[in-house]
Amino acid sequence: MSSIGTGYDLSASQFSPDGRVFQVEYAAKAVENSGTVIGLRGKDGVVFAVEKLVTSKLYEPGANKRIFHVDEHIGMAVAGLISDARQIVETARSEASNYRSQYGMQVPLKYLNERVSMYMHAYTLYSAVRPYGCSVVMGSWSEYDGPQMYMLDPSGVSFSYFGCAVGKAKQAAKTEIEKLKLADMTVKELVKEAARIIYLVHDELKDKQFELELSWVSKGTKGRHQLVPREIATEAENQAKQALADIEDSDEGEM
Amino acid sequence: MPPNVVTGSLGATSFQRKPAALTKVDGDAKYFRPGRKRFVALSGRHGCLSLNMGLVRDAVSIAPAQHHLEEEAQKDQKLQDCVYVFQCEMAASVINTYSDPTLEWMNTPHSTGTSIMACEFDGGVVIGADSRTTTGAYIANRVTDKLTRITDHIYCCRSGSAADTQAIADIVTYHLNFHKMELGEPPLVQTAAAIFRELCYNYRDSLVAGILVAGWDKKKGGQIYSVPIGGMVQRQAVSIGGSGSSYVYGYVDANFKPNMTKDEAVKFVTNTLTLAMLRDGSSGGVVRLGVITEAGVERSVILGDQLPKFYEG
Repeated sequence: MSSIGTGYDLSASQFSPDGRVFQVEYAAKAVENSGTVIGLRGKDGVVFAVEKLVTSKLYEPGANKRIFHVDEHIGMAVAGLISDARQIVETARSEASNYRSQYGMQVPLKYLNERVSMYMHAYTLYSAVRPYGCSVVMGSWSEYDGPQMYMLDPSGVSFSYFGCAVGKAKQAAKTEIEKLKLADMTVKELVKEAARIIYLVHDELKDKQFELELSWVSKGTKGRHQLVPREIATEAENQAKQALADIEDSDEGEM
Repeated sequence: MPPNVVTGSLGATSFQRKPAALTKVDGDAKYFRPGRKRFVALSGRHGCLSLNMGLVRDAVSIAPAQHHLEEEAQKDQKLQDCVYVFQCEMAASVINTYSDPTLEWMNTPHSTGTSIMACEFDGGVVIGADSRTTTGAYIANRVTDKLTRITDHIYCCRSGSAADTQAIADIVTYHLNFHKMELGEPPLVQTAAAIFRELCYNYRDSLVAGILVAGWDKKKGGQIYSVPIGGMVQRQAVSIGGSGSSYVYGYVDANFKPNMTKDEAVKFVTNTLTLAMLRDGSSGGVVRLGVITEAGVERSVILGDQLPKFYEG
């Protein structure tokens, strides 16, 4: 599926003869090489799970988080180049802060999504800059709007999702997500599913170590985005490991 | 002692009090027959003094150059018991303009000395205002509409400087229109109030504006936000404003009930504004009303002869 641009891929301000902007597509490739991120939107909230690949045992556990808070009520999980992503988070925070100071209330996710999308898109227009090499997933819950989740990719396009996945194992993750009936599930159930899916799609051979990051925002958290509390997260992880072990056992059984 | 102003009943008031007593005009000085204890004299260009009879001699000594007037007064018996005014050098040209009776109306700020009110009821809000705009003592507009549309479901009641409040309302309308398009849904009353606040607070030193933002939105129903001079915001179930409001705080406190019906609320607002208009000189004319609900706004006017009757002695 990958094609070489040969000459038409040198800057984001160039089209190729078949109407593609290669730089933007290459940016998407950068996202595909990063650890998987999945977002699940249920009945009463949104859950994020991130497969944070750890390349060295010497790293402090919990360092370089890939889930961020934007204002109190919005969470952002990122995939791709982490430093590019941090810039996006900063921009989103700045937008949210300005909105709050101007309009006296927290920024609606739909509005923030448009602002961040426009921002990311702006970097695909000029040859002087390169597009952001990251995809972000934003989620929020409010009394008035209910749960909402958007995913933005490097081209600046964004969609609202019930369930989404980006990164290395996005295809496998999407297949798993499609099996779930998301609209009927509460965040407590979704946390377990998210953990299970991440463990399932993680490639043991290529990437040895990983940390699972979980976060949620829901009616239960009163609209505040927070990392899933340790007990619940640990329980979900254990259940996920168990599920994985069951599958392996059953496979061996069939063989 | 350098010539300077003594004390003042400046300009208009004094002038109005004794126009008939003008007995002689001599250049820039005018003579007035003395009143009981004091009289006011008016000088055409250079300001005015208020003198006691007893201070005449001092006044004479202040401006010795006016001796010729004194001489004239001595000749004319009638004028002898008049006190006459001396031209005094006034410090500021402000005094010139404010004391010059022909220009006074031009120099008084154009204000909506006003009575405005907003009241929540079950299903929306009722807003009301009087219709008088004054420049000093002159009623520049006796049928003003102080209830200004921001959006179909959000209105504001304006009090204070007419120019300031009109300008602010225009800016807020523009902002909110833009915001509505970005948001993709009707804006909240809270948002309108926040934009009003941003302007009224950040430019508080240049503005004189007391505004009531009232409307209906899907999230919180009928709401009223008071943005008085200085730029604070406060949500209230009932709110009054303008110069006439001082006279009706008691009535409002005694008669407001939460969750009234629409008709009760309209009656309440009408009564309150009528009482305010009866007592406040800067309020009057007709009562303009608006009822804002989910369906939009219904405007109405209550003309002078249809206002409720209260005891007037």
